[in-house]
Amino acid sequence: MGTYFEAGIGRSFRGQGIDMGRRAASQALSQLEKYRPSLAIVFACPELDLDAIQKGILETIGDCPLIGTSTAGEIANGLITRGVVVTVIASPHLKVSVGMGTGVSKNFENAVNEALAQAKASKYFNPTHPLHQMLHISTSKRPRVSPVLAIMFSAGATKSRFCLTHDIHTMLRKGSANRIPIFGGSSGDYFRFEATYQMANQHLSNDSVVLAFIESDILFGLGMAHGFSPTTKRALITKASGHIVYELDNRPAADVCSELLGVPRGQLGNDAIWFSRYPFGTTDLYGNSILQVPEQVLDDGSIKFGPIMKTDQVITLMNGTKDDMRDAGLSAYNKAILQGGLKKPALALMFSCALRMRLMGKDRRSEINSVLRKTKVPVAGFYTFGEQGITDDCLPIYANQSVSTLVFSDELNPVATMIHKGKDIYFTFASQLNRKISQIKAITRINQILEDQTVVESLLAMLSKELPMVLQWADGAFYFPSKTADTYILMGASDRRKFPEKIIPHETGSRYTCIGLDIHCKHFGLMVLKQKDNELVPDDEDMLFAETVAKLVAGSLHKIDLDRGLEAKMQHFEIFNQLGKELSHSIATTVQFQKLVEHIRCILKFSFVSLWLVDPTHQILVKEAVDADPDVIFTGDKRENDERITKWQLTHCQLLSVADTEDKSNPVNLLHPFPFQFISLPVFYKGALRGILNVYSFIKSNSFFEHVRLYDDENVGFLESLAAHISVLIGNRFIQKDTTLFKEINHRVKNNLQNIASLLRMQIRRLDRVSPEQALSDSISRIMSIAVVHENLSHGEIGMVNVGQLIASISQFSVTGNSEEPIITLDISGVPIMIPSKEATSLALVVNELIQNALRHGILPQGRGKLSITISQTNGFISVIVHNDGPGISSDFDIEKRSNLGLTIVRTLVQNELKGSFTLVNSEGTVATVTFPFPETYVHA
Amino acid sequence: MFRILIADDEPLIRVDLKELLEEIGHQVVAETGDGKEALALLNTVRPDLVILDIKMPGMSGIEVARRIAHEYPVIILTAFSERSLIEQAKDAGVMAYITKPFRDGTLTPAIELAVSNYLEKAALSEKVSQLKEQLETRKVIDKAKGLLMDKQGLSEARAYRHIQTVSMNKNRSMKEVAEAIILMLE
Repeated sequence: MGTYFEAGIGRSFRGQGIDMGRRAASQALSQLEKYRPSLAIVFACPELDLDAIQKGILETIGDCPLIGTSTAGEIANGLITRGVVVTVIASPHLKVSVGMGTGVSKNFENAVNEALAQAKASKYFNPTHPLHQMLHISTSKRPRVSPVLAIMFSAGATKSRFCLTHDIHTMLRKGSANRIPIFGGSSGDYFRFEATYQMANQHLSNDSVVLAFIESDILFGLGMAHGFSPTTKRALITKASGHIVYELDNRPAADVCSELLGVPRGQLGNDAIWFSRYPFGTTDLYGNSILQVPEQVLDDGSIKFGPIMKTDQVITLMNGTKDDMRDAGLSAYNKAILQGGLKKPALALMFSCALRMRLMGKDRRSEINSVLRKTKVPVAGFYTFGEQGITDDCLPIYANQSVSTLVFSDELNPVATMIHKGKDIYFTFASQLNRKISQIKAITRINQILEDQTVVESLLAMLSKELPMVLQWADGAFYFPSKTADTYILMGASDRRKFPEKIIPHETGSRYTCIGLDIHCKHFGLMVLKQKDNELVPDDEDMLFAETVAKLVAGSLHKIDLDRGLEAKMQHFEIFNQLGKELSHSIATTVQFQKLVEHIRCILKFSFVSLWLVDPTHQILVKEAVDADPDVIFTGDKRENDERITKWQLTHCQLLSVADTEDKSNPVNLLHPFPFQFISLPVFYKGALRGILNVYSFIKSNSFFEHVRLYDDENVGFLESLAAHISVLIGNRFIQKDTTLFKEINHRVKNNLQNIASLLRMQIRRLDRVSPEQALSDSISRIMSIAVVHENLSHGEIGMVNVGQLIASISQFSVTGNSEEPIITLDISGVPIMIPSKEATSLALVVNELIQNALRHGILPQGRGKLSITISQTNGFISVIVHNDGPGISSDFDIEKRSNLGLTIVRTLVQNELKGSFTLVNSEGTVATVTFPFPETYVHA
Repeated sequence: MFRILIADDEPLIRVDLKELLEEIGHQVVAETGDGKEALALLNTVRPDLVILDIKMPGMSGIEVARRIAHEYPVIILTAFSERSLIEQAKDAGVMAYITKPFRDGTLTPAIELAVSNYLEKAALSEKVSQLKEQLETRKVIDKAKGLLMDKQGLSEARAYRHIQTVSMNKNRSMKEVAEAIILMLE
């Protein structure tokens, strides 16, 4: 296979003419690999059906130019006889045109001009044409300078026609000012001298000259040799005209020849073999001997030569052995190589004289075989009736009994090489440029996608669809790492059937190409490529480009990640902002906690969020607020699991985050299925657990970013600081309560002081009726009973007082406080009842007065007695009954009598404060009954 | 001697207050522990002075004061001493603000001052509204007078006399007559 030049040689011997032509031509064409044939050269035995053969060849080679000749023996890597040889030369660096001029025998000049005109080569053979000064500048679009070469076939000698090849050659040689090498041969016909044939394209003639005019950037060389050496025998041509020499040394030419050859005069005319064996030669200006072979001894004793002979030329008898002749073939070949400076000879065309074949006899094959053997170059050609080539000094020459060789080499001439290299560079650059352009387009498209998409999943899905177009050689997919370290999960693929759902990079071997999506030490995942079934193989640049794409994608993912981070920060900011607003409200109400929880859920996009607060009195958790995504119904298992997590938290008080609730290692015993991940945060205020914040996020399959979001350090950190803020909010609520309580107490103290002041003032107004001692001790007992209410204020319920305890305390100091200590049996019974402190104060004062009265009027007069106090609760009323077993009240006792301060106090308080009733009757002593309505809200059993 | 209404939700304090007021020569015409009830009682007893506690069921003393302070002198008697409450009382038009516990000596001057200040204020208000009315009448009469002079070519004195005559004949105030003239001529 040639780089710039290819040649093929086909041959056939038997069969129908058209088939022979087809066979030989297709055999020749089959040896071409890259190039279309530039020229087909046909050598055919004239006895065959040349017309049919030519048709067969033409239909096989198509529109390729064709020239051909009949032969006296064909050469196709060796001598063959009576066959057809088709030689094709093929190269884009050859420009071939073909022409045929007919009617050589009538007017060879017209024929030559016709052939030149057809071959569009007339200008080259006009001595005044400027092209001769510069070889050739092609007129085609691509400017180039190409050496030119003519291959010529012309009609050979027959019995009826003189061979005019030398005349034709001389005309062309002179026309081209010796600048254009003419490689040619006269058509032969196996020494029958009947008819010789020439072919040009579809034309076939027996009286024509055929020219193939070749502009060749392919290096070629020509050489010629004959193998004969001059002897000492010579003669001077003294009379000659055209091809006829009449006299040598002023004597009849035949006579002198006979003497020189040592052959009887009579035998000369019969057998031209003598002339072949001992041809004459002339010596040119440069000392090269050229064979001048007589063809025929004419009847008048003159001799007809093949070439045109001139007077005053010395012809020398030449001598040559068979070995010399055999070596001449190789010699001509070597001259061609030298002349052309060829390094990679690819085809040799040898036109050898038919006379030489005849002289060699049985060794006739050796001339060609020695070339084949030595050079390994394919050889084609034919045996001619006259050869044309160049001398050792590169002048075109017509010769006889010589071998002329044209060698094509698989090289370009230096100028063409430059042009070709330039062209190569151009095409390399052009294809590089095209590649870069398509890469830039691809990058642009990828960038467009990267810009348009902000959601990772859809971004990767779109990108992976684009990858086969962008990379051309591969299908592509994107994988993101799963929770377990070394497995990657498919996120998007150009063709899902070609990629597994999961991939472990170091186990994939060479089936996939894995490129990391890495940027700034961050690893997002893998871009995985799988070579397509077509034969595109990625080169370094393809890989580099794929890596560039991966970098771009990684960059984009990084950006999305940053955006997401920023968004999260914005969300956090928004929540803090809301939180700040809530904090700025002085009262932390349930509504506000609910709002806060809603903010947290909506802004951070959790599935549901619950906030539990610790009830300070009972140390239990109370669900304060809960908010769920509209798609998530917060009932059943979800509610139950939320409670379980909260209960666990109540005892553990530590941050609990569970990424996979199906993972049994989580510490909370959950109901399944529960496809949520969650974080449970304890909320502390001043070191004590005050609440629990639970956030839940639904686990979406394959959603990498969603999956890790909740466990992002920043998110967890944020939630923790959120918990801290919530704790402040909770703390606020307690401070709120404390402040209210303080104000309440302060007010009540002042009110009580006013009450005491009022009681004292009332007592002062009645000093005229009682002793100062009694007035003071009564006042003291009244103050004490107010004090007892404070003693008995419940620590749990704000402002609530236990009635039983209250009364027990009052009776305690009332009984012991008296100066004369009576023997008293005290009996207090009843149900435990809690009432507000305001009512309790009134009740305490009332009960105190009743006990004082009972003691003063019922028990002290006897010095002993029984005092029982009963508290009961019926139908929304509380009754306090104070009974003493004394003498009872006197019948004239008027309960409405104004002056008795104690009873005034009792009446006023029972009626106006307690909205109840008071009775005082005698029944086994005195029974004082206070009954007042009792709202259910006070019940605290 | 003033007729006084007291409203305090502590019955004992009420009793003491009532005795105290009567001691210094006043008459307690009504007492209650409920803000709304105090409002209702006012219409029937028409007291000279109202003493109100702030913290009461039904309605706070401040709120009651806000509604009645333009008709009655009001004294607030309360255990609260926050600045904000005093401000509120001032805005409501309260005449005195006494904090509990109080001394008996405090009440007498407070009551005297409250009533006299109230009366003075009321008299001033009356005077202001009278002057306002007079000014208004003058304005209207002047306008009517001007119209009569323009449209009917009367002199100023004749125009005034015309209004005066019509007023006496029709037994209408001069202002009403002037308004009728403006309505007619304008």
